[in-house]
Amino acid sequence: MPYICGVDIGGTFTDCVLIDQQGGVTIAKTPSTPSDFSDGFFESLTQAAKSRGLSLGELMQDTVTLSHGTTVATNAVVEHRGSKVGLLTTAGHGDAILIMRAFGRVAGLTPAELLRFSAADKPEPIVPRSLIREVPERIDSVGEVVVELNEEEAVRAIGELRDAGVDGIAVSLLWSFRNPVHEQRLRELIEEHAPGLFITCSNELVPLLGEYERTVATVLNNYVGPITSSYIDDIERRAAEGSLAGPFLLMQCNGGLAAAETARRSALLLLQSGPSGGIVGSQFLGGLMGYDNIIATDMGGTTFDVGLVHDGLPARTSTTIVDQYEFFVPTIDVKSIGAGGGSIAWYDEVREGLRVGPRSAGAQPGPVCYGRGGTEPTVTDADVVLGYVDPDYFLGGRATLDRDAAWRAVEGLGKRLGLDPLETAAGINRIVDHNMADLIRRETIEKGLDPRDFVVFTYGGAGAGHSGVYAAELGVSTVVVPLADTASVWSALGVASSDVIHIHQRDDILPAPFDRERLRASRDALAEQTLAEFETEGFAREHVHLRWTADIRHRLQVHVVEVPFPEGEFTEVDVEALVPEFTRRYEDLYGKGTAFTAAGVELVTLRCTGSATVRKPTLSRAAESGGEPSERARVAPRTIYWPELGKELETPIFRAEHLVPGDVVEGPAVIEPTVTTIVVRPGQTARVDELGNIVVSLGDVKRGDR
Amino acid sequence: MSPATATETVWDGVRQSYIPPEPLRLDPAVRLHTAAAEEVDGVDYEVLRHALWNVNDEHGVTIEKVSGSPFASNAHDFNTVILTEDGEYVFFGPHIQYFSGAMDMPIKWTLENLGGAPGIGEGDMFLSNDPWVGASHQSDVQLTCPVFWEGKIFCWVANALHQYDIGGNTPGSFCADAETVFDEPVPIPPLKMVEADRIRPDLERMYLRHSRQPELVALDLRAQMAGNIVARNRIHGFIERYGPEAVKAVMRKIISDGEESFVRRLRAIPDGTWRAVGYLEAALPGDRGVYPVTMNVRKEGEMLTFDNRGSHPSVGAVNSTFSGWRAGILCILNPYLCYDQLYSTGGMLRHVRFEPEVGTINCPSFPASVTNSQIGNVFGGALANVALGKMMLSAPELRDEAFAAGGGSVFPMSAIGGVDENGNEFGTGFLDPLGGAIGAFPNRDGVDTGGTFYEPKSLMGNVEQIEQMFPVLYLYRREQPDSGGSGKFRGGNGGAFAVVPHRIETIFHAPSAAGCAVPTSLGLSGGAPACTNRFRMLRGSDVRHRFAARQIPQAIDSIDGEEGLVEPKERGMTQGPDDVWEVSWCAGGGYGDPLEREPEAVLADVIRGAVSTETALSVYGVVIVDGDEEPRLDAPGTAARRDAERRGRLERSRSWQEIEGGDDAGK
Repeated sequence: MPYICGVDIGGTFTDCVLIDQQGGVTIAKTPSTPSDFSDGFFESLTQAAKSRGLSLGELMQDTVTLSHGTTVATNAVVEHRGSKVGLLTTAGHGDAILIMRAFGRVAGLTPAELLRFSAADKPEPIVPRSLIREVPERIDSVGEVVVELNEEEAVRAIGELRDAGVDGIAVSLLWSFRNPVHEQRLRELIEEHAPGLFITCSNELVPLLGEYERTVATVLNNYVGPITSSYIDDIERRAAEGSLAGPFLLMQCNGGLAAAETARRSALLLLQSGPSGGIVGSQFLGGLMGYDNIIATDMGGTTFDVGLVHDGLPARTSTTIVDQYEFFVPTIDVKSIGAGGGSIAWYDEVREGLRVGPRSAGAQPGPVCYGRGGTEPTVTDADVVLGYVDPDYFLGGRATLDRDAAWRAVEGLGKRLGLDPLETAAGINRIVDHNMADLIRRETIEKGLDPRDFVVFTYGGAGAGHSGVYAAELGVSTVVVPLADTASVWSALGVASSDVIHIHQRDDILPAPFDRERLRASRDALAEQTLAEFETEGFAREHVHLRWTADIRHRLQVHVVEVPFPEGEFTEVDVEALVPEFTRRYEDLYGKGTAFTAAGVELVTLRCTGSATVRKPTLSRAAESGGEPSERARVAPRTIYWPELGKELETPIFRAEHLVPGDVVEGPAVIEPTVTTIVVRPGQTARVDELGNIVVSLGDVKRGDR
Repeated sequence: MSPATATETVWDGVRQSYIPPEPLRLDPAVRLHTAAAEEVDGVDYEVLRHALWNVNDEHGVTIEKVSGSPFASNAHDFNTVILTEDGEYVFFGPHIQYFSGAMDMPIKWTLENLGGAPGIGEGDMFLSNDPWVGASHQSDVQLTCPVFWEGKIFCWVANALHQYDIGGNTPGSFCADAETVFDEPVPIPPLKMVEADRIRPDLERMYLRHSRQPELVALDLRAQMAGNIVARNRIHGFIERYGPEAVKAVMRKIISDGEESFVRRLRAIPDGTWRAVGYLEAALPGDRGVYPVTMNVRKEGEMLTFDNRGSHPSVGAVNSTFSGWRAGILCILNPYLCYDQLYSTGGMLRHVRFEPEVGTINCPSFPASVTNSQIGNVFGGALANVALGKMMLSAPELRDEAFAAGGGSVFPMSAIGGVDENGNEFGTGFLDPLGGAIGAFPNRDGVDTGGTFYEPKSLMGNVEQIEQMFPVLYLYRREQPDSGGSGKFRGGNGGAFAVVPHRIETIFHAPSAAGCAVPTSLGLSGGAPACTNRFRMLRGSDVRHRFAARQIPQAIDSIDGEEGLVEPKERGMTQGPDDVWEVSWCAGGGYGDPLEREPEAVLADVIRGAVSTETALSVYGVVIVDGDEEPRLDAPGTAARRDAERRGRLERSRSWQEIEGGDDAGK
């Protein structure tokens, strides 16, 4: 039987999802193996195969696509284990990556961190000054050569870097995205004088204006490139030994898969690809459920990630920050804060108040209730104290939690606040829930989007326990816990359901009314580049879908608004429609009357997103029945404290595995899949839909959890 | 100030600076929404505290996006602020701090003077840039916006944004040769530019008429307005959700928590007086004078008092008004003593007194020239940085927060203008020096090109962004070795850049700076000051020939040409096609004795190119063997060299009597 396989490697667990032709889903969760991640990769596949009564080899022979999300690139950066990179840049501008636009001292820091000068510093250079070489050459802002490439100097610089033992060379010259001739020539010179080195040229990777962000992207690509390549080689080799039937594809941060060969060349796109799987999975499932607008939320042990699906497409951004380095990369826009089950609650001496996070107890020692030596109360401890989490049914009963220890820790904190343990635990939850709501607010309202037009998808170990509050805070009316048990391996399912995606873009400023010939020439060049990439991966041109957007701004302005072309052919009518569409979107963001159209309008960037569908899993639908959960689904009620009612109640508890489509659970109640907890708050109603999702209606919410 | 002058001085913002009285003399027509809940839920507080801080951030992002100015977009040359109904600070935004520190005054002035006519109504916004009422200088135009609830003023949101040109005798509005304010952009006391959410077209025309770039200024006005609207809407949302009394209670508690935290820190500091003295040079083009500026801070019990006694009388075009002097001090008080209160400044200000001496370089009377106030504002801040730094070093629990003065202690303003190849007028100022440098700390080095102390979120534009907008070509932009002050911990290095005209023949220049003759980034505890600012113009260079020969000169000294003297303030200076313009900016001061610096740290600096081998030897006494191989340390040589240096110091030492001639002896 043919299978679609998705494997997602996280910091703690490696998740695997198999989907058969009937839409049957098999999952496996095995420990990650940091010493060699490919061991965990095959172990998770082996486990999943075993559940289907297959050997790994048999599974490989039946696998039509093997898709993979990996943190190998991200880990290399976070742990500073990347390769030794040399940088070739334009004479006079070798310091740009060290100066970091001065902003590098605080980029990506929280307000509390960035306002304290004594605590903020620049990160270690990703390429030290001793491995930066400046080459005499100069191109100007319109792409004309002002100074010819000095090849003798270039060859000398390449030789020095080679002799210094670099693994690769990043080439990032000023204005190369206007005219790549010098970067192209440098590539040839490197291949000639330092053969075998990993080479990245900035104009090929991110042809965008801004030498700092472009150079960082180029260097990072080189930094993670060799490690990623050898990792991909390992997996490909072992998969080939098992006679893998279909292609091996890797998840990129842009939310699409790429063939192994592309991923080797553009390893940058694997950076921070972790959360992409979950968001693409939400997009996929949302499509089946009829939801176009989704706030995808992932609350794990340490972080809370938020991404959006808007009008059926994941929200994207063109820059991101890793280790205080900001760089260009077309990526799914995911924002994180330090809020999770492990976030530590503490007493703030100065403000004499309760605070939560951003410090986390992590996996070690973990929350107090894990009994692994943790002493500071965490969000999970508060959940145990309030009664949401059953200490005896943790991970489906495979572990038990120490409720008394959690209680004592919360009580100790409460004494300093003059609150009893239940009030303290409720306060901990309120703060963490509001922090999460605040992040969602920044990602929706502050971008001009109304959260009430969205549904919340919640996954990750801790999400469904808190989504009833943070979603209600924003006026959202529906929360979806996808496929109940699958929520815990959600990213792997997302990886398995992704398309192959390649994005190409080019900066070329065109004033309105737009020069159609030039626009057409840009379009043709980008289309050709994109289609050629798919062709090398084995996708026929007719199977590739191209989508177009343009970044547009007022003349005199720096910031742009991304405007999509209508679906279909790129016609002259579409071009005409761009300006009014831009004005509409602009005023949506900044208010009526703020658009200064008298200044004129210009198109800055043209962007082509190509996608090709691999093979989508089908999920089986069951007829809805019942309404009333069966007795089997009910277990003994538990005493739970509900802050919105101000009291403890004997609360009904349901086992998710025995709920069937159509079953309805009225809050207050708790539904327990094996690896997470779904809290249905008073006034909220949960229903199991035909796909097996648990859909919580939040009802008439006025003041969130009050 | 003496008691006599105190009674004679009228602080009304006309001849002397405006200093708001307490309480304010409100017009009876002004209705303030003062009610606050007695108690605020701890969690509501935590939620709203962050939400209010985010309002400033969101307000700023809006300005950055709507404004077309590279000042706003590439360099964050603006800031935002939230204040209570009567103009007490709640939060500063994270950008240029002295913009926020000057914003309570025009609001209090408006409450006192405009409440009856034309009246303060819902949807109104007031534009101002009068340095005597309270602006950092005329170019930093303020737009203040009352937020109404139930017909009463609930609070204020406001912003200030640097305008490229709002008039005066010099493109760019940094009028280096202005002898009085009448040579400068017109100072505008608060006026109702926006009425019921609409820009008044008559007033806007008058305002834009001042500018050489009215389109940009018009766009910026809309950016400022959009920012205020976004902030106002957010606060209305909180009020609807939590109720006005709860929101107000949160504002009050933010202020009182800030106050408590500030007082707690003051208690850790012994009473005393600390002083920093610096010098500004060149009051006008051609002037060779040097003028002392003094910052005194006295700590007594739960009160800090700042005065400027010892500062030179107002002179030429290097003055800054009281509001800028005070705002400069706030730039450093926040990071030093309010860093964990998200820069909630109002409570702190209840324990800070300002006692300016009238008629001085930092408290001049109308109609002194003040359009270069940005020099004095940040220099005052840099001196406060050092004076307060010394004070912090006396308190063990605060000492590690202190740092030496840094890049931007005086900003070398290099304004340019001209006509581009398409015949359009252009003008801008090079904001590259906002790349700055952070001074050294008592326990670690400063930060090379780490921005300025007056902007936590410092940002400098990409060269490509600048070249795209203006007809210049950068030869280089790099960090400068040896530019940071030496010390046990080294001050951050600053940088330099050089440009030639591109596709045009002529660029007009109007540089305006100080800190070119006398260093302004002072060190702490024996750490050396950093390098000075420097302007250089190399005329008739061979740079085009070098381009043809496939070379790009990397140091102005390596280019053939004729170097003339460029003064800190010039007027009518032009740059021709073969002339090279270089600006280097002052860096961060050092901390402690350079002879105590770990030799390995000096070696690491040499390897990184941050310190030269010569400086390692002559300043740090560290001998580095720098042959064909990787530089390495000569440990015995270093020990001997440092011994000799210390012995030399003792031999050269003089007694206090000898130095001061007995004048201050015994103090």
